[in-house]
Amino acid sequence: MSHTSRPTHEHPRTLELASAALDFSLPPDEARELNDGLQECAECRDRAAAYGAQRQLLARLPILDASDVTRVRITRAAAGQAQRSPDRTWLALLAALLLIGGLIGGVTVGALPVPQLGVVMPGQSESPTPSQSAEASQSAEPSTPSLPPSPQVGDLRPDTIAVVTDEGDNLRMRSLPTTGQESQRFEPLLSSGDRVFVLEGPVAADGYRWYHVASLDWLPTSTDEDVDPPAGWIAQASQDGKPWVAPAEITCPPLPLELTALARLHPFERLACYGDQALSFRAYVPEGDGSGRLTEPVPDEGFHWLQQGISIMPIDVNDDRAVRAVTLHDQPGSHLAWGDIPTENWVDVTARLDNAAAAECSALDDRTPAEVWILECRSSLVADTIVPAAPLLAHDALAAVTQAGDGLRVRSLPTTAQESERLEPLLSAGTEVFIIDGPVAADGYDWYELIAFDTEVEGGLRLIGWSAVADKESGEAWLRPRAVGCGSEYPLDVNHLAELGGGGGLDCFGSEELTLPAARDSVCGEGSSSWIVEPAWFLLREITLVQLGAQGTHLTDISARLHPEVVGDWEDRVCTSDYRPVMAQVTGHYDDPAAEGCSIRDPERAQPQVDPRYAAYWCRTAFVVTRVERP
Amino acid sequence: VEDEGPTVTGEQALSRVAGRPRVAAAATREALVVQAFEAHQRELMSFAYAVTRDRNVAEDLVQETFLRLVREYAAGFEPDNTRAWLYRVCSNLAISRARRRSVVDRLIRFGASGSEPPADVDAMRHELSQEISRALTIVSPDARAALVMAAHGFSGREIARSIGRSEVATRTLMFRARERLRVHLTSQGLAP
Repeated sequence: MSHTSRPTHEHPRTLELASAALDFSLPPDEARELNDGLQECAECRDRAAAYGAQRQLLARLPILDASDVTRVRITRAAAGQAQRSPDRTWLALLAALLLIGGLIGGVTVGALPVPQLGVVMPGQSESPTPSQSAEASQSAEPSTPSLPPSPQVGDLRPDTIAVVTDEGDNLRMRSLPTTGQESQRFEPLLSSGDRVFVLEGPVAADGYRWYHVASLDWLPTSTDEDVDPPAGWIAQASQDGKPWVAPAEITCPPLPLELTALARLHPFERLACYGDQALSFRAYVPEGDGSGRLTEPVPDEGFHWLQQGISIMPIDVNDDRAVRAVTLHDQPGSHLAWGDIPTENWVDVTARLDNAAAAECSALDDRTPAEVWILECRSSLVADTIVPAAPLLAHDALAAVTQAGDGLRVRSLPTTAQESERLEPLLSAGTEVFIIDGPVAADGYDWYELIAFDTEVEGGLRLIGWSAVADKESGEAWLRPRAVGCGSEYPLDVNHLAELGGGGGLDCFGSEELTLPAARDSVCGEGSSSWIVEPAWFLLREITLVQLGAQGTHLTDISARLHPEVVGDWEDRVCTSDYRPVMAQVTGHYDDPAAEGCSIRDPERAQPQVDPRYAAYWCRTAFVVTRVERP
Repeated sequence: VEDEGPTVTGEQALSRVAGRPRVAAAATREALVVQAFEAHQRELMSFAYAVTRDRNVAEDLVQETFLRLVREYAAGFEPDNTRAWLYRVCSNLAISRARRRSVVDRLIRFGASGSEPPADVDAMRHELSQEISRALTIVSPDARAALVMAAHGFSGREIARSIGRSEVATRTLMFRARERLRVHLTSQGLAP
């Protein structure tokens, strides 16, 4: 058989298979297709060889050794020398987030303030403080047995949250409720607006009303940190009654509670809001790698109690732009078999904070203030009951096929009846989908309508239809929420939107107005298309937003649409070699109102149009630029 | 209902139940971690550096990865495939981290501007590997992780699991990244 060599642009499928063959075992039909394609296309053969050579090049990247510091740290940790200190419990909670963050993008540990808590010993020079420092003066009058008058803001109550006032900026925390030499002065100083949890007080001494508090606005930054959350005594007001600390107003979401609302609160805020009330909510147990899931009985004393727990997440994992996990702990002494709780499933939970056993919590080292440790235990959520629950997915949100759902069938209708067509292909584990409707109960299943946006069907379109969310016998979930890490802590830029993808952007932001730095890339070509889109501007006003590096280098890009109301030079089609994109402040949104009525059709075929559900999705997931402001 | 979902054997169902630890004695755990560190730290450092282009960040990621392995063992778990587990954790950390501004800044500094990485990267001896490493920054962090893992001999399935994507999506991601990298390397006169 003779073959005429055809250019690569006629063989995109061959090239994709050539790349895939380097990493995957191709099924026989694809292997045949690749072979045929390579025989037909000489350039494809070169390209396939280039991919292989590229892999060899990457294997020659720099070889580095970990430093001795890392080596020693790991060896010590393995030997158990790095004993768990209380800040490690914070880290365990963070680690739970980070583990999920591996799927969705992580938490903002690096972005949090990093106070260096230290102790200024008596006799040492004190760190400089502003002249307005809210330090209880050491030259104050000797302590008196009676409380000074309460400032106008009123007393602080234990188990509530208080906030440092403007006048209290640079407030000193001390080891004892006195200005005497025996009271160590802690750093960092508290700033105006910092929040504290009130542990006890007031105590009268040296003309001040003292409260024992723990800071809320502090988290360690990495496993290298070996410092404790700040806790100590602060004076509530100056001796002439100017308040340095006032009761904070916190909004406690009403019961019955959704886990999303609880997850938004700081653990100490949760304690202040709900005490030991029973809290009931539905939660999702994400896939994990086993961390924190112990089946061995562990001692109930000390920190071991807190080691046993699982991460649970709100149903809408992308709510509030951040994936927020809550760690759920076992009752001390009950040794619940966490391993029997299947991951990637939903549970109905009843739990409480402020478990009585928290009072017995203690750290393993004598350096840690017991009150900090007890507060951490008190603010831990402890399960009363955990019952498997029916899966529940959010609309306009990403989901993915679970391991148990590998080979999931999509149907044309939410039923197993004959009229419901079985669509191809089956969805493999991990396939991402966008949920557009449901649930619909039928034939013993809960059905969701979805778009498998990475799964091509005939004509380059995407698979769209209905799938059952779980096995009706076992309840085992076949679909799960897909966290994409839309956290507000990430910089809002083209890079972030590119990472999210259109579906992720719509899931995270809905129709919210977003402003970000971006440039417009040059526009080459005639803008013609074999499709007709209504409204036409969704096709004809497509632009490419780019993120430029410091030297003007093109770093990342996304496709966007220029809204018809945006006029000016961004409308111009510029395709010259000397075009230099310039960064601007761009405002826009996903889910433009015009997207709902979007239609797409192929002019060469009168019918059928592109599935209107896919057309709407295609338009809704476009980032529409509504304003451009030059710097 | 055969077509509504997969049929699984009882054994498969059991294997999916989380938290079935294989607990090793403390001394054994220590030996296993040290052994794993010695066996994999170098390739993991190279991997982390290739993905982040920052020696210090790479060091952080590798350290955190092995600390998680320590915790994993301490919690009574032993990964089935330690090497794959380490790459999975490290790539997850790297991809998460890359989404934050600090790393974007680093990419700008060391990638786009053409500045050299820190002087202490003594292994950056070959001009070609520098160029390749720099070229990698034009693809997304997860694509970068996927390409370097492929170069380190991982299968597509293992790579997909590591970067948290389906195999289909991973195939597409890697193809596009290879194509983009090919065009870039060609324009730089570095095409293999």
